[in-house]
Amino acid sequence: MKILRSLFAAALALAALGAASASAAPNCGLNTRKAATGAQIVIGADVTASGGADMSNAPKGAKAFFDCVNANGGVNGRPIAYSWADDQTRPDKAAENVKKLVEDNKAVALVGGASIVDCIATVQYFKDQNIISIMGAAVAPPCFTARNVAGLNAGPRYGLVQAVAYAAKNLKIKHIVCPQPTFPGAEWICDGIKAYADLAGIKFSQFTFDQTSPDNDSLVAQILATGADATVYVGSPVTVVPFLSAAEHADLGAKMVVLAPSPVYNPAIPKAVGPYWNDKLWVNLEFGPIDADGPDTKNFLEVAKAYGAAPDGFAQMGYLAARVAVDAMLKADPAKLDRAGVTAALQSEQHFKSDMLCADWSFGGADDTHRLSNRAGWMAVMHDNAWQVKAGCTEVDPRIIK
Amino acid sequence: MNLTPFIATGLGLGAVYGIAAMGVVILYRASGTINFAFGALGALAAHVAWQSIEWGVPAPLAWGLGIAASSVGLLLYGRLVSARLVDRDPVVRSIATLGLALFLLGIVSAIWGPGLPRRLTLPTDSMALAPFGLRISYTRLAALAFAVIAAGSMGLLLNRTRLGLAMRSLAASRAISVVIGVPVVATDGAAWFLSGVFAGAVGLLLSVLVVMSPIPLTFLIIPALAAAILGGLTSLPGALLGGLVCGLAEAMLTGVPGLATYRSALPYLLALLATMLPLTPLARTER
Repeated sequence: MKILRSLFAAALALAALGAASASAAPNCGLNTRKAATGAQIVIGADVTASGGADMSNAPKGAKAFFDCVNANGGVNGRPIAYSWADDQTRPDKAAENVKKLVEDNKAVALVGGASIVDCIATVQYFKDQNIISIMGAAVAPPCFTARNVAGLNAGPRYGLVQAVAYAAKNLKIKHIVCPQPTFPGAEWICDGIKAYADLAGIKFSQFTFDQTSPDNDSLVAQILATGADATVYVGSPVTVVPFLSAAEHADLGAKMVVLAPSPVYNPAIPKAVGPYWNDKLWVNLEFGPIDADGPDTKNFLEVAKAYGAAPDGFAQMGYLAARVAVDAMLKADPAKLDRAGVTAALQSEQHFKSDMLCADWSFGGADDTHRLSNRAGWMAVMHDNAWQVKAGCTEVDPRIIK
Repeated sequence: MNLTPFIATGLGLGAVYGIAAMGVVILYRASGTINFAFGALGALAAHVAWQSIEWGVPAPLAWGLGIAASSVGLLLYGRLVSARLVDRDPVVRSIATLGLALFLLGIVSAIWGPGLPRRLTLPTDSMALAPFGLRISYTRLAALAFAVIAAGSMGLLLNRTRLGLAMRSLAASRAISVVIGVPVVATDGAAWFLSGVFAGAVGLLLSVLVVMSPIPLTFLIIPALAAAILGGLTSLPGALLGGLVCGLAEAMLTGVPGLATYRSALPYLLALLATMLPLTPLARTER
C-alpha cells in the first residue's frame, strides 16, 4: 500500500511537472505545435558584429523567435529562412551584405538587424528595391528618417538623451561629457546630448575617440580631464567592460557617474564589471526590464531559453522586430507574401503591442519625417551587484527629435 | 591640453609593451625566430588563469597555471614543430609561428568566446599613488617594476650564465654550436620556455590593465614587435625602452586633437623609422 501511495504521488508530481512545462512553452505565431513545411519565406539582416562593436545578439533574438514560429506552424504553413551577415562597422560591407541578401538570397524583407552603419549605405537601395528593413537596433541618423526603415528601438541618441535628462533631474549633474566614437553618424548622438544640455543649462564637453583601440586608459584620462560630473559611454556590452575596468583603475567613479545606452543592460554586466560600479553605472532601457512580470517579457525569456538566444537588451530588440514581422505577415494575404506583399504588410503594421514597450509601436505613415515610434524608456542603476530599475516610461524631450 | 594624465597611462601600457618586446627578443636572440604567436599565448594564459579562478583555484596559483599553459605550450611548439624547421631560413621559422597564433586564437575563441569580455583583477587595482595629481595604480607600478626586474635578470642570464652563453652561441651559428658541444636542444627549449613565460606574464598583465579578449591580446604582438625593433631587436634594455617610448607616445598623442584617432598606428610608424634612421641599433646593424 505504501509503495502504491508513493507511486501515485510520483505520478502526480510528474503530471504537475508536465503541466508546468506545457504552460512555460513559448507562444509563437499560430502556436500549432507543428513544424511548418511549406515554401520558405526568406528574411535577412545586416549586423555590426565586429570592428568595435558586437550587436549580433539582436539577430540571434530574431532567429530564436523565427525558429519558434517555424516550429509552430510558420506563417500560415510557410517557414521563415533567416540569415544575417556582419558588416564589420563598414558602410561598404553593409551595402554588400544587403545586396547579397536581397538579390542572391531573394529576401523579401530585412528584420532584426542591428547595425551602426547600415542605414548610411543602404536606405536608397531599400527604396529602389521596394524592400523594408525592420531593425532591432537602429543607430545611424538615416534609420530614423528613411521611408523604408523603422527601428524597434529609440537608438543611442534618444536613449542617452533620456539618460542625461534623468541624471539632470534626479542626480543633479552639472557637466556632461560625450566621448564620441569615430564611426559614421556618431556625431549625431553627441549632438543630441549637446542639444539637451543646452536646453537644460548643463555644461557640455565632447571629444572624439577611436573605439577600436584597446587603450581605454587614455580615454578615461580624457574624460577626467574635462572635469565633468557625468559621462555618457557610447558602446556595447563588449566594449563597456574594458572601459569600466580602466575607469575603475583611475577611480573615475569617485568623480562622476557613467550613463550607458540600452544594450549595456545585460544581466552578465554587474558580475563582469564588479561591485565598484554599484550606484555609479546607470543605463537607459529602450525596452522593459527582463525580470518584469509582463506576458511578452516572459515569452521572450522562454523563447530565448528554448532557442538559444541571450536574455539581454539586444536580443529583446531582435525578438520584437521578428514579432512585428510575423504579426504583419500573418495579417497579410497568404498568397501575396512576396517582396511587394511583405513590404505592404510591414508598412501597414500599426499599434503593435508588447509589455516590453512603453507605448504601441507603429511603422508610421508614408510622409513621416521622423520614424521614431519608441520614444520612452526606463532607467536602471547597478545596485548590490544587480540591475535595479529606478524609473519607468519617461519620454524623450520632443525638442531633441530631429 | 594638459598631457600629464597620459604619462601614467603611457607608463603602464609602455611597461607591458616593453615586457612583451623582451619576450620577443629573448627568443630572437637564441633562435633567430620572431614569435608571432606571442600575443596569442598571452591570451591563452589569461583565459586559463580566469577559468581556474572561476573554478575556485586561488588567484596566485591560477596565475601560475596560466603562465604554465603559455610556457609549456610554447616549449612543445618549439620541440615538436619548430625543431623540424631548424634547417630552414629564420624567416620561414618566424612565419610558421603565425600558424601557432591562428591555432591558439581559434582554440581560445572556441572555448571562451564569444560573449562578454572577462576581467582579471588584482587587489592593487584600487590602490594608487597620486604624485602631482597624477594617479598611478599599484598595478601599473608593479608592471613597471616587473619590466625593469625582468630586463635586469634576463640581461644577467644572457650575459653571465652558461645558458646565456649557449643561447648567444646558438643565435650566432647553430652548426658551430653543435660542433663545440653546446646542448642545442636544451638551450633551444629554454629559450622557447622563457619566451612563453614572458608571453603568459604579459597576457595576464594586459588583461588586468587593458582588456581580456582573445583578438586584442593576440594582436599585441604588433606593438611588441614595434618596440623590439625600436630597441634594436637584440637588446633587452632597448626592448624595454622601446616599449616605454611606444606606450608613452601612443598615450600622449591622445591629448593632441586631430591626431588622437591615429595614435594606435604610432608604434608601427616608430618601428618603421627605427629601421630607416641610422641613429638606432637596428638600422646600424642592417647597414
